[in-house]
Amino acid sequence: MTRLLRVELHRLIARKVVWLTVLAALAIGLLTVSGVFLQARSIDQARAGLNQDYEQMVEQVERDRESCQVEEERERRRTGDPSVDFGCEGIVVPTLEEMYGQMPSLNDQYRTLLSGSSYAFMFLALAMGSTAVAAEFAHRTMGSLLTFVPRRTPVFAAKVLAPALASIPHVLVGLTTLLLGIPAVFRWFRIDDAVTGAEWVSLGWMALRIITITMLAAALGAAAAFLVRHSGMVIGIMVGYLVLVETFVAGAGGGPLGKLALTRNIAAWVQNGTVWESWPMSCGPFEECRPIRHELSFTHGAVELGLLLAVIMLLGWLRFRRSDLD
Amino acid sequence: MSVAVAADEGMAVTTRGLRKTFRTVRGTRVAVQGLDLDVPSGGVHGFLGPNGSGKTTTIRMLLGLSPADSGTMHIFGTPVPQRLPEVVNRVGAIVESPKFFPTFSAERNLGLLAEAIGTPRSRVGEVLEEVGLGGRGKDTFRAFSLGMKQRLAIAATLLKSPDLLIFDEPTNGLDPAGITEIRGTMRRLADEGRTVLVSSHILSEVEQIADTVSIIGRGRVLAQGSVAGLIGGGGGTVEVGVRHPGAAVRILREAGFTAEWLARPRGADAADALRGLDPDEENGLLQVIGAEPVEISRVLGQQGLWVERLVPSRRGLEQIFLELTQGEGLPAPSAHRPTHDASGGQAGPPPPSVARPGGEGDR
Ligand SMILES: Nc1ncnc2c1ncn2[C@@H]1O[C@H](COP(=O)(O)OP(=O)(O)O)[C@@H](O)[C@H]1O
Ligand SMILES: [Mg+2]
Repeated sequence: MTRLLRVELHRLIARKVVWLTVLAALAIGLLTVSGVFLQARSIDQARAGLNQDYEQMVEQVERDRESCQVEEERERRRTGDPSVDFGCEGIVVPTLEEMYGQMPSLNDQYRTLLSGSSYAFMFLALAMGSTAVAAEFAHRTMGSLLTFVPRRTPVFAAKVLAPALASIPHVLVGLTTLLLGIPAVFRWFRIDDAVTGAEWVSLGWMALRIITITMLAAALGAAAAFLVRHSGMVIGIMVGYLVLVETFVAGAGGGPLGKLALTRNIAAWVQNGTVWESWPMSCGPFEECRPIRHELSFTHGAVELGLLLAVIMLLGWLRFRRSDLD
Repeated sequence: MSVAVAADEGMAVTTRGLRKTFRTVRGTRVAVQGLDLDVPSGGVHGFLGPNGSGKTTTIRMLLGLSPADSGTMHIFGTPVPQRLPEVVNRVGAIVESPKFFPTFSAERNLGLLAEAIGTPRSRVGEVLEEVGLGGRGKDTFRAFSLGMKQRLAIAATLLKSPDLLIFDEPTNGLDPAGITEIRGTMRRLADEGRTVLVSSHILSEVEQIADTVSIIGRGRVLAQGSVAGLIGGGGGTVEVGVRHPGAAVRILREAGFTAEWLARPRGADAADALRGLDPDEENGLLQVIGAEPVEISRVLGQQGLWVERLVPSRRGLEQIFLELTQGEGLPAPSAHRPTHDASGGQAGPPPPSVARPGGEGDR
């Protein structure tokens, strides 16, 4: 089994798909970091450009407040009512951050960008896993391998496990790019922020969860390719599912159906539980219309994703075990 | 009733009652129906049959690539596919065209297979040398000619140092030089003591190198045995050129032979016309089955008919092949079912046997 796995890893690496996914993950990481850079730069530029005007604005606001207070005092005296309130205290100078926006904290940046890019890493892994297996059917090398190694179950296991392991490099490269690139942007613009020890621990767990789910996506892609034997078909089915089913399911809000949405369960896994809001179908004439808050636990995500993987693996194995091969 | 087969080490391959039906959108198609194949150990065995007769399907079932509907198969006495892993290292096979990763070099393609079976990588260079691809290991598979691809596939099968080699139409698409080369390789492998099972739809392609053959049509064995036996005496066929063929057929039949007045050989009319002979009554061609050439000439000679041509020949076997596989034409020979149990402890190839398509052999 370990020998078969080693062979499969060699086949994968020799087929260059692994290197392609590493390059793609690097590109995704760099794109994300450059997005952070652009965000920081626009804030920085706005601040620099408006810095001179800010003092004038402060003076103007001071003047406005003073005249407001003068008016207020005059009115109190005229009516003899000390409770007259023009609300002059509300006239305050907005801070620069309030005026031009502020960079989210480093920790927040990490969390949103890591979990956001995890979908891309998973997609790469799924594509890699499915092409690796589908190529064997396309080139008909599966049959010739089986004339050397006729036990199909170990062959199946090795071919599902190998892409899972081979997806580690690209997800590591992607995560590392983010973890190094984002603080570099902060330093570049001299934004003073740091991540606390507790936050690092939590981020570390998140990274670990992203690595595991990426590996599972690769295994899922491989198992699905055993089922449909064409990587384009695997990716097509996935995209079709996302467009046709997922939007509908996710659109079902917080009901039982909404909790089945794949993207939410992935988020629940990656973020260790997730929350989202939905709007009620109708608000009564006298009620205030408030969004409803929903939660999905990590466990829910783990169970649903685990079941999905198990079913696809089982179907892929059953088809491969009994099928005719060239 | 199916025949119980003793696990027979003297046989490289045996199948009994092998069946396979494909279900397609246009209904079911029986590819193999009750195939009883015997491939003796050692030598080259030609597995002959026209296109679509079930050769590839049979080979794929033997290799565990395709599950059989029913029937039993043994390789070196081991039941397959149930215990295929036990014998797989004794079997090297190429099914249909050679299949490798097109962008990998020859060495890498073989290296990956060597690794899969735990063979040292140094074997790769050796087997490439063996098939004459010594200097081409670094070239990509894609860049190989068809003949080189085929030789690479043979090299791959040699990685395991197998006792049984199964080649499915290995000369398909090759030029004459390539065909000769592959033939030579197969003969050499057999001379090294291995069994080579080679399928073909062209008799002449394997006839020269085969020690034994089986001829199949529509998924069942029509005849099998040694090439010498099928051509020569016993169940063999002899082509007889004689004047007054009508009389000759009658005489031979009276003497207990199976004889048939064949169509005239191509070009005979023109040749006869030049010589001023009557094409209808003179210089005809007969086919006689199940007789020694000596007996034929004796019987005809006693009746004053002189044999002009007597060929226990290539054409005889080809005739059997063509007629058997077309399922028509041949008069009922002294047919007996392929012997399943007789040749158990016997050395050498089993006696030839001929079965009629759609005859009493149906189960
Ligand atoms: N995968 C398949 N699906 C449907 N029919 C098939 C399949 N493979 C073979 N057949 C049919 O089975 C018969 C035997 O085919 P095959 O074993 O390839 O013959 P051969 O190798 O002797 O040319 C043919 O009629 C062929 O059409
Ligand atoms: Mg074929």
